Amino acid sequence: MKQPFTYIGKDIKRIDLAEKAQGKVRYTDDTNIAGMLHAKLHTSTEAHANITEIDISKAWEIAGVHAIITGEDFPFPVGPMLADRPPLAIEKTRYYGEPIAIVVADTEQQAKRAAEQIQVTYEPLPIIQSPREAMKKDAITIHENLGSYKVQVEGVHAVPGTNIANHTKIRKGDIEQGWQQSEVMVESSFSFSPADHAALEPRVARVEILPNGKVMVTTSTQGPFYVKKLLSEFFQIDAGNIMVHTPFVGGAFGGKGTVQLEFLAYLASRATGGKLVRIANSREEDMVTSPVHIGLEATVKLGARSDGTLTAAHYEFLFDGGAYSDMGAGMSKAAAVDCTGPYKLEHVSCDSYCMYTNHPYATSFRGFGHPELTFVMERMMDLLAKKLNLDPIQLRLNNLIKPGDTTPTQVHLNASNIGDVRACLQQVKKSIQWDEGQRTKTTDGKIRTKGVAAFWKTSSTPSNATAGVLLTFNTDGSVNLNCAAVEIGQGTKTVLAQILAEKLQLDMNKIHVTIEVNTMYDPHQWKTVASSTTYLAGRAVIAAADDAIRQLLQIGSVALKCLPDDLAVGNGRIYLRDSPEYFIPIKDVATGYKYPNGNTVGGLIIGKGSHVVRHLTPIDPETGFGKPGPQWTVGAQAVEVEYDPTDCTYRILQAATALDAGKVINPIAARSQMRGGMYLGLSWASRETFVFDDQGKVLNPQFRTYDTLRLSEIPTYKVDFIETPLIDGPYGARGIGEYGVIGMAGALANSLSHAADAELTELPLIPELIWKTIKGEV
Amino acid sequence: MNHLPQTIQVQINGQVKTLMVRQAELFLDTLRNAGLTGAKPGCKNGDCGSCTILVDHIPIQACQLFSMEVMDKNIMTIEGLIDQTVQKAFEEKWALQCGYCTPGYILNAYALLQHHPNADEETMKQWLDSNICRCTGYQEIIDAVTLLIDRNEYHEHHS
Amino acid sequence: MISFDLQYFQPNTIEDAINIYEQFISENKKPIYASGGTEIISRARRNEVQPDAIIDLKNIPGFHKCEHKAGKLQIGSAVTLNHAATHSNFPLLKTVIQSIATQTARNKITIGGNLASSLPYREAVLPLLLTDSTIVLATPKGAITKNIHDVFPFNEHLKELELMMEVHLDSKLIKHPHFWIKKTKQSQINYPIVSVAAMHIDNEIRIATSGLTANPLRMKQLEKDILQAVEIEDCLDQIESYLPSPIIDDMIAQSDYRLFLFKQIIKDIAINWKGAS
Ligand SMILES: Cc1cc2nc3c(=O)[nH]c(=O)nc-3n(C[C@H](O)[C@H](O)[C@H](O)COP(=O)(O)OP(=O)(O)OC[C@H]3O[C@@H](n4cnc5c(N)ncnc54)[C@H](O)[C@@H]3O)c2cc1C
Ligand code: FES
Ligand code: FES
Repeated sequence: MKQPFTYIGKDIKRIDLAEKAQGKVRYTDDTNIAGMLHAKLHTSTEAHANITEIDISKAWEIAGVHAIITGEDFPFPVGPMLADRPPLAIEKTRYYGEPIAIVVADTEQQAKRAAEQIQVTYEPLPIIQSPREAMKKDAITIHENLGSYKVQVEGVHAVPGTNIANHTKIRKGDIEQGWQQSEVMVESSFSFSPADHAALEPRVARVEILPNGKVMVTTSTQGPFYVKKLLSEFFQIDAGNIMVHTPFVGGAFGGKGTVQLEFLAYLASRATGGKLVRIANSREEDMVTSPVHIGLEATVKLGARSDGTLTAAHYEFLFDGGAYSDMGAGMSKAAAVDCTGPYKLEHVSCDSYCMYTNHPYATSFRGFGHPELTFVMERMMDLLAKKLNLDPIQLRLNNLIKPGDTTPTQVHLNASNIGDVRACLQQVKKSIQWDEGQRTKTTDGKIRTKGVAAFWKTSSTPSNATAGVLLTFNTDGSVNLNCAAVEIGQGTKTVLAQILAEKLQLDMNKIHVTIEVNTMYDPHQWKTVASSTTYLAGRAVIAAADDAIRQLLQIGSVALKCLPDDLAVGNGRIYLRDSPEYFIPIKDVATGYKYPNGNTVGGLIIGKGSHVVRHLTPIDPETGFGKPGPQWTVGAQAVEVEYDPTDCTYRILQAATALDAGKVINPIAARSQMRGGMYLGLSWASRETFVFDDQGKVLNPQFRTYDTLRLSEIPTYKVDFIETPLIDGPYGARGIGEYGVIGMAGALANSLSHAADAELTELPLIPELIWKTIKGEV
Repeated sequence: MNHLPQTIQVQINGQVKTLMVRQAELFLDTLRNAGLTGAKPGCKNGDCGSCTILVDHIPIQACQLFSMEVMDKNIMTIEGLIDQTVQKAFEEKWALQCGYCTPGYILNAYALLQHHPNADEETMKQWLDSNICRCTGYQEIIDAVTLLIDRNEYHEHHS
Repeated sequence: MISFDLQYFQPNTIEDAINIYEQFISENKKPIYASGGTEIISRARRNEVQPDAIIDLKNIPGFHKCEHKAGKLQIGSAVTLNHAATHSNFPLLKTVIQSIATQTARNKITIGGNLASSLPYREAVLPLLLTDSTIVLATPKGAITKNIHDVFPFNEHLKELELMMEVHLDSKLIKHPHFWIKKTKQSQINYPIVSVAAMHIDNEIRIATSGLTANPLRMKQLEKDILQAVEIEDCLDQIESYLPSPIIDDMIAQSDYRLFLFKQIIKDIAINWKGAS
């Protein structure tokens, strides 16, 4: 078929490549401003304790100290979903590493020195280290005043008097009937501890309060407008008086989608009469003090007929949200609404809880609850396949969800709002050479096995998530694209420029995209999360381009003495459709068309466009009925490992992904996004976790001991795309940013369980865990 | 002598600089305070390689150096790497996403190619394993450096 | 960032180094010797050590040598791990060293720093234990040479003011067949759960290990018993009795898994050995 596009679907070079390769890019902390003050935190050494005294006298003795701020200076809780977290601990501390005081000084060294001098007296309390413990009837309540916290967004159901920060219920069909139809059942429990995003750039923020009351924020965030919103809400500042600037961001993975340091920098600036104050995390603080990747304990029961048709499923998800709910309350809900994975199930019940524990608090992580639920569900599918003695891929194929079916929250699926998971699974089966054997022995005694996972995800955006785009023209006819989507490494600004290039049929180098975001000049955007940016901002680009084209045609019709309908825009020109040799360059009309006699008409061409998600509904608190997101992106993944049965070590040989991208706008960019996601998923599944001592202290808050997958250990990546257009996506595109990560843990665990002949139910999959599982000690 | 700040002389990117430093100061902070922010703090603990610079042509993590140690040494940071060959290969292979790890990787790769223009796969991986990248999945970085080795980029000019 | 202040010295002679050290001690202050400085920096950042003075040994002539002379391999304590790997011609030393930290970090980490590290691993010592090296120490009374088994671990044997200058070992030993295995929690770059080095020298098998207990160990009794054992399992069963202190149980691995891996490695070595001889 002839490719109808000029820019869409092409391997267009990232617009930020050169600058980044030169090391010329400036991230938030690459700007040193004369007179800037530095803030450092004093953080808690206890995971759960009453704070009986904070002695700051020694800290004041350090030269250069301007201010010391403690919880009492702002004794109000904040939080994105449930306002449960004082920016600085008051009365008690709920996790190891929690901020207790801020010291502001002339230099970072002085601030650090002074922060170290602060003496805190604690009265230890019992520590809750797992969500299951937190659920116990006699467990100590971590938040005594849970009932008084303000709910920030609809759909958060905390249970006062318990450690439940959010409870989401799904009740679809009749679960009892489902069990009656079941001829086989499998039940199992799964768990993993919190881990970290570990973006390479630690979080950092600067705030200055100008004499006119304007609050100037510079921060490494995925949500500049979100920072603005929450600062305005919690500190009673008019939104118009807050300016948030986000330079380049050094990786985020969801961890920069919430607000923490910005609050602290604001308090620090306020305490110094509005001076410019910088606060930068050390790696250790970034890992422990700032929010982390959520943990989980889950129990699942799955029923099926003897032919493998799924009949009923019950899920209990106990998420380890840590000391504060933050976005953990959203992830527990997101996992519930997609709990079944991409399978057809008529009878479903799910209770998903975001539990308070005395661990560092969790926030969104790439995949937002889905890598977690998919690990659980995909292990269950393999357990069922084993019990039924069915091929794991065949079992999945037999049960895939498709247009006409309904999701756990009873959304009707159609040919547009869900992709083709069957095609993905079949592609991945080919990529991993499934039919050449799923378990083979090598001559040196190793075992090679393959495992698969299928997955889906909808974007759990708020029902009014929006993005906007402004287009202005330069006198050379080139276009400036302003949009508040944050470039966190995913290449989003390149993709948006491509969409604009396609719409205007304009060369990519005539499109100037401002990579940095400034809330004062860029139109409002919700956040750059949930793989929603290509959809939201992409649609806004299309709308803005249409707006600009309309204006160009109008002014062109004046200049070319014809009707706007006779004209088209392309190659920097407005031209007559039937005789393109008659044209006027955009540069001659972009700032107004000047007649030969000097009279001018038209004025500036300014294209504007926005898009908002539509028809989303909150989900019913009793049944979960509702529409949580606009569409489901689906995919399948597979992993091949080589396992050494003598010591339970293994190498990951191959990892394959097939994703239904709707439409791939930039193939190289999409593949590199997928590989990056696969890497992150494999790294998490195979080695990333926090290790806690029995006092709830994180023992490995450094890359030295927080293990990540290294360059020499990567598998061969195989990435393929299926294209089932999303009718209202930009050129049919679906969100893809998070998806590479989602099925990796499930596929790896399935592969290794097969290799070790032991059912692995925990993460990370380190050799010691496999050894213990084989011995029956897990 | 006491613990007051000291003056050090060091050649950075071909220019001799005189800098005042705390004796406990680490060279990564000195560089960044002097406006050379290409070296990035990723861990300040010697674990991630994002602060890698060249000291007398050898890759060293700037966070693992006392500023007092570099007295009279020859330093190269990403800002001073005029030769664009490695950068171009990283562009060609898309060996970056957020770009935060990139300066450290490029200097390390550059040093690798200076010392081992024909590095075999094992040597290449041994060197490149010094850096952490959380975005790319590493394949593109391997591809970029492999490209340079295959093209014999540094062999002809330098050995 | 190191938040406290300190004084930094780069003496050019051993005498100066020791004098500066003495001077600080006499003022009741804490000096520390440094060669690579990496561990001191990492620990000082977190205030785990707070020296008043850093005495950097790097500039002292002789601390950089890595050469074969008079039948001995002589390595200065400030020689970086990478330099030692490439210039010692000692295959086992090279292999062991290249498993420590990263290539870039090894441009800074030194032999002396690794041997005197506060971490339990100190893996570079394993080949030195196997070759019955001698350590040249600098003391206020001048240089003294000691058998490595009498001074290692340094934290138990070195007196205040004393420092390691050089290590010497018999050049003839370096090419003997060797065996090296390092088990980590997952990534190869990690600290060892347990690592074992072994050499076949004159019909003997020599074994040293790191990660298992608080200090790296040369396991002479085990070496003998393996030679005599009819069934290797007999040695394996009583392996704990060869150890001077409990097996480490920490976040890297629990002690039972450590022991399992260790036994397995020893078994491999023994089988290998029996096959070879
Ligand atoms: C990423 C990473 C991974 C690592 N992995 C491993 C590993 O797998 N296995 C392993 O064994 N180690 C490992 N290490 C630890 C490393 O080998 C030690 O920290 C080593 O001590 C650092 O050497 P240095 O020369 O920088 O020491 P320094 O910081 O200079 O000194 C360390 C200690 O030795 C003392 N010292 C230094 N020189 C002398 C001397 N001449 N005489 C007496 N005392 C002296 C110092 O006073 C100090 O107490 C790793 C380190 C890093 C950064
Ligand atoms: S910042 Fe220096 S190695 Fe990470
Ligand atoms: S590109 Fe982001 S860390 Fe490497």
